[in-house]
Amino acid sequence: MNIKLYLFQRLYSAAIVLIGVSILIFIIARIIPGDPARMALGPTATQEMVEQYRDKLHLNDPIHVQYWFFIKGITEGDLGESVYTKRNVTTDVSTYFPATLELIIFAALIMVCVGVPLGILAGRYKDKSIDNISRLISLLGVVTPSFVWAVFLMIIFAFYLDILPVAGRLSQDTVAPDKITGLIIIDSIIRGQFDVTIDALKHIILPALALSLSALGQASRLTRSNITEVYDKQYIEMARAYGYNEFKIATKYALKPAMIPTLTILGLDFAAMLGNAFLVEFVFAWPGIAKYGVQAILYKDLNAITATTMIIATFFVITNLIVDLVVAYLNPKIRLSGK
Amino acid sequence: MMKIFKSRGWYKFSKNPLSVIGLLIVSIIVLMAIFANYLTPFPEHAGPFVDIPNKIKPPSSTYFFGTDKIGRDTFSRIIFGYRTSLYLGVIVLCIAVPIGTSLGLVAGYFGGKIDAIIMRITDIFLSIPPLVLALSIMAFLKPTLTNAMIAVSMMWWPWYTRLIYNLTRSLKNEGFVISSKIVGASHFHIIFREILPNCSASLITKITLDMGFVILIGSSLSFLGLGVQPPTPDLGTMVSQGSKYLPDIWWLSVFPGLAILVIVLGFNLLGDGLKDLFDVEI
Amino acid sequence: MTLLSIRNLEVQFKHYEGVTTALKKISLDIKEGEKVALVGESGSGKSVTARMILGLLSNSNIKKNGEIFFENIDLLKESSSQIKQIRGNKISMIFQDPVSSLNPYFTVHKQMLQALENHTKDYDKNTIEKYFVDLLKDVKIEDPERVLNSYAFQLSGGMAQRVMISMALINNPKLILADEPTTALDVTVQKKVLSIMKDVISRKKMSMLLISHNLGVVREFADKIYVIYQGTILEEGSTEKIFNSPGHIYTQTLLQAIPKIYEQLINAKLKRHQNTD
Repeated sequence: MNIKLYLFQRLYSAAIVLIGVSILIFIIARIIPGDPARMALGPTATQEMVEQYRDKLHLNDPIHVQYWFFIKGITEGDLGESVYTKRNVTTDVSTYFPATLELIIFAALIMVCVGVPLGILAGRYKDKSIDNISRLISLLGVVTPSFVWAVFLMIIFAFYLDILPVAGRLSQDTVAPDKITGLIIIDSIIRGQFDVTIDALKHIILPALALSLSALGQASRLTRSNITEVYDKQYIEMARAYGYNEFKIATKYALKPAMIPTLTILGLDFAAMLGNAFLVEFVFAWPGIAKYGVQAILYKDLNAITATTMIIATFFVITNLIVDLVVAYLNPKIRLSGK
Repeated sequence: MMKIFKSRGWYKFSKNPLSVIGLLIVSIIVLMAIFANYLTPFPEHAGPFVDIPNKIKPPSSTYFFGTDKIGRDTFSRIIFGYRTSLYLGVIVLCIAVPIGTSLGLVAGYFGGKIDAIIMRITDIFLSIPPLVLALSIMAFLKPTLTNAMIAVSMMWWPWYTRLIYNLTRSLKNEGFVISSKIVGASHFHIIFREILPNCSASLITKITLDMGFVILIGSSLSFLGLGVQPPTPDLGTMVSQGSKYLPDIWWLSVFPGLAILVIVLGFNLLGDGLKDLFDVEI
Repeated sequence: MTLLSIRNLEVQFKHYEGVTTALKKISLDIKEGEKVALVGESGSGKSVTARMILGLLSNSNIKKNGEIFFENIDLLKESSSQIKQIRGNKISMIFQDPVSSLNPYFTVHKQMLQALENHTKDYDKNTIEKYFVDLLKDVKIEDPERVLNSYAFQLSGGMAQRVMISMALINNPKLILADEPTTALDVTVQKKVLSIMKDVISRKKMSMLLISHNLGVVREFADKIYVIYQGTILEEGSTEKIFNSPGHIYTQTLLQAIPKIYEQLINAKLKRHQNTD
């Protein structure tokens, strides 16, 4: 098998999964008892309004025609109108998604910058105190829901120590920079408004930390087990026999073989943060897609719900695809033989 | 069963203090939840009870974890909340495990087209973040405990399909399976009498670990207001409602939050211990 | 002149069940340009000896006594940074399983360059490629350019071991330790790799310590043989002496264990193989 075939296979299966996800979400939205139009408009709406709304959502057409409209909408970037905001869902999503993206990128940075070095140290000093600390962090990370972390962090840093803000992306008197990427931290740096950057950083620390803690523990345990596995390999002894110093082995010679398989799981963890973002955004009033999604659920906003789920699933699948491709590129075994 | 206590695994299990702590946490919580009516100081506070004179009392010897805005004892409500959590966990796994296991057995044993179809569908379910899938199901259902159970079960079965699928694929080439094929055993016999019993150690371990995680997801749903509705005591709902009164009435969110942590931790430690006991990989 | 001299080396491993003595006061000498073999069954302590020379077994659970003199310095007393100067430079090592001794994530070229750079920073960047190619040609690799840009998993066992041999030669070491260098290879390529190794080491006038469980392998290779059993040297002597008049009963048993007919068969097969080439 060669690399082209491998790439084709990965793309093909990603496409199949995406089509499957779209069908799944479509089915969930249609199969569940109750009339979405009635649910959206509430009990006060007249039967006529409901019928009109059903027409608008193509709910009176046969199911395969409905799916056709659904897919057509997705490909055209038109996911219909939100009942609640009265705007096109695509517009809504593009407004709210950057805030979530910024949050999970920052959380992923914490996961990688803290979790991976912690795992490396734990692996190098197996069963020493640093290993036990990392084990404890990982255990606490895994068993504590992120909304509980969010509440705890809020109490400690925002209320008790009073050094970080409680909610939102920016302080009330701070004006967001004009939109370039939608990520406030990056936009403010580009525009040179560094006071805004600092304010945004202060706001993002707690939610990002709450979001990263469970993934961080997993990342460090995984890095640890891969590092210890690599250190047992013959080529590490060979390296020592050829005069490599331990620093070079730790930062390069053992790190690369240990990190490439770790990368796949880090990618999964990163994408999975979108799920937990629902909980963290809720606590910190973070104006992101997850908060929008929860609102959509509360208002039974059919188009907004499908759009949010679809966006998240797509992001999940594409992230995994990218990670797989990066791993394929970095791992000579896959790059050269496609295995 | 007695064999387990004499085995090397049990020795390893009992020598590991963490596994024993896990077993203790789980046993204590389960017993308290079952006998909540007799063990809690204020069993009547589980329902819509009002005691205005004693509202917003900080933790004390009468009210271990303080009282809420209408004077209900947080400690009693947490124990009843455990009852809700355990109920949810048991029902969800009772639905998800048989579905997931049988699909995994069928796909792994028969292979071919049926394998491709089942495993593709499994992949699709696994490619949506679990909480998001449960949320999008809950979006169209009324927020009740029953519906939350349905939603969580819907997202949970694929994990069992994948686990049992991999086990079945390796077991089906084992000598004892092949020999029973040769003597003419039926597919039904081979799947349920030969393969399934050999998956039981992995299944029991995974179920134990998952009890914790199902409870965690269930509390996440109710935290967002999409699960159990008040006045039924539920840990996620309690954290959510309590967090509105931060920082002054901190005990309303901190103790239920810790309570979730403790029960998930208990199942996690116990599950890890079982991994050693049965010597299985999950 | 004696290059390496092991004097009363004793090594003990501490573990939770007690203490195991791996080497019981062994002594061993290697002269310059001499090829010495250390022969014994698995678990006899022969690999431990090689690893002690390079200081590869150093943690708190290992107790060591005695001396290992190399060019008149005691390796056991040297600091770890000084040992690092010697590893892969004055003494290099060839391992048993060549494919897993090469890092699968770096090309042969990169690993050879690193082996060089560990000990010297000033080399001519323009001629280094040619130097590597020549080294690979020395071990009879026909397409050295392709091999240089390969990863371990793209090489056959015999090919990878030849790469390891040229890697061992990079810094012109005085002594090469070879720990069962052909055991992991197919029987048909064992002889070829051995003869290549013998040839290149003789030409470069290096010393060698060959560690093996196989007296048949050793016979064609070594000038001197030490027989080791359960951490004790039972017998030493020239190859001729050991084969013609073995003193110790254990050595006699080892000699009897060489499968004669099997060897002849392989030789015949090899010959046919060479004829068809």
